[in-house]
Amino acid sequence: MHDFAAALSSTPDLAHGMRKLGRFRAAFEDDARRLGARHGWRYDIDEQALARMFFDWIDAIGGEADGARANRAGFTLFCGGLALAGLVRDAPARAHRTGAPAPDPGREIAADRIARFWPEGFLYVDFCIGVVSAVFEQEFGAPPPLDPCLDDLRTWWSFRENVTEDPALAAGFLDRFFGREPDWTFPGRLAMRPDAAIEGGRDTAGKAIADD
Amino acid sequence: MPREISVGISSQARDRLRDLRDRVQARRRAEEGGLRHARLPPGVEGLIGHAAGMLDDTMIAARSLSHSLFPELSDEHLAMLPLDRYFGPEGGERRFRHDMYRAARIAGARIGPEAAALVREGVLSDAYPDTRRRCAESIAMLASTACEDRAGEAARLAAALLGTILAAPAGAARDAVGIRAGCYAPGLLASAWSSVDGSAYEPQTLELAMLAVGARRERLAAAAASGDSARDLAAAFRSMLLHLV
Repeated sequence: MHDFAAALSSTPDLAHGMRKLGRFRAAFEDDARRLGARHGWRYDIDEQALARMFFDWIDAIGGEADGARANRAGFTLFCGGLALAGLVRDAPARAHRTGAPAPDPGREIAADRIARFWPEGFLYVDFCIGVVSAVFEQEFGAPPPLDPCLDDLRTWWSFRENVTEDPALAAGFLDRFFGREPDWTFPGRLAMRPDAAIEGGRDTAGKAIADD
Repeated sequence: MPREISVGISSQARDRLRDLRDRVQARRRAEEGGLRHARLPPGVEGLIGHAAGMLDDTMIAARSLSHSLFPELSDEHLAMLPLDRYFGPEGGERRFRHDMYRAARIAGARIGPEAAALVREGVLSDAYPDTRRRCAESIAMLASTACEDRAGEAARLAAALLGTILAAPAGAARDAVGIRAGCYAPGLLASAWSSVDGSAYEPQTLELAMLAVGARRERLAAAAASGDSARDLAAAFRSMLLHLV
């Protein structure tokens, strides 16, 4: 997951750039290419489904934009969660096996297993984690740590089963992947998040960006 | 005034010829597929075939002439102007009609053959003078470097054009409004995009505009049908522009 986030973090003003359809699409396709090549998959992207997901996501985060003033880091994670929920719901990617991945002793075996289990979900999670990590890198100096459950196939069983039933729960799972406490009851509501009570004064960088 | 009338009439005449050509081509395809229309007498059948050939030749010749005179205006080299430039002091009605018709055909073809068949050059001829009159303020604002809300003004201009286009009778069912919006809105959005950011048109501009409109087609149709369609369409265009530019 790291090369995609590293490449993204060099994009100027990524947090705003990701709210432009052209950059969002290019980033998603870039990640699909990288991830597919590494794990032996080819992803076909339904561009129209991706655009629909993008504009629905923009509408959803627009309704919660005030939250960016209070807690920029929490808002960034929340936006990532909404994006993951949208990707699961609109399912813009279709994976096709291209063969065994190229031998690479440094590659994660666990990730190969997860990619085989649910290649599309693997891409959606990888993309959202990559974008959130790159935004954190730009705005706070370091990406948020990932939880070990991300490499556990049992987490992915649960993830797939739950979001197939209710895509909105994907936002809670992204919180889990980042080691945060999810809100399973209202995963699409910023105000209900466990970390939403942080006072405005504590996140001055976030306030400045939100005021743009 | 005589020139305006002749432009409108010639646009409509071209629309009719295109309709005829499409029907002839559809009939030929059906015949090639083995579906013969047996009720026509052999003489009439031959006459239609002859007329179809003449029509095809005429349209091909007209298209070749058009491309040799305006090579940059072909589908492959569509070069749209910023929306306000079509309404500049030197006039741009002909170019507007040509570019928007091409863009609408491209977008319609993406949706499907039924959509492409709904595209009419005549509605563009009608919408242009109407919008020039009603949106003089937005046109003037966009022409000024001091304009502070270029997205808002470009959205108003695009909304006025689309509203007029969609209000024109299309001889189609009411539920075709969304499909017609899907045909005409991408060209308007791509052109408005150039008005906002000032960069030259690129093929990717129309591509992204088609995706944006495809994602918001139902919303555009609902806005067009609302009690304040000018305001609601402008809001829809502005929202798309802000996330494209």
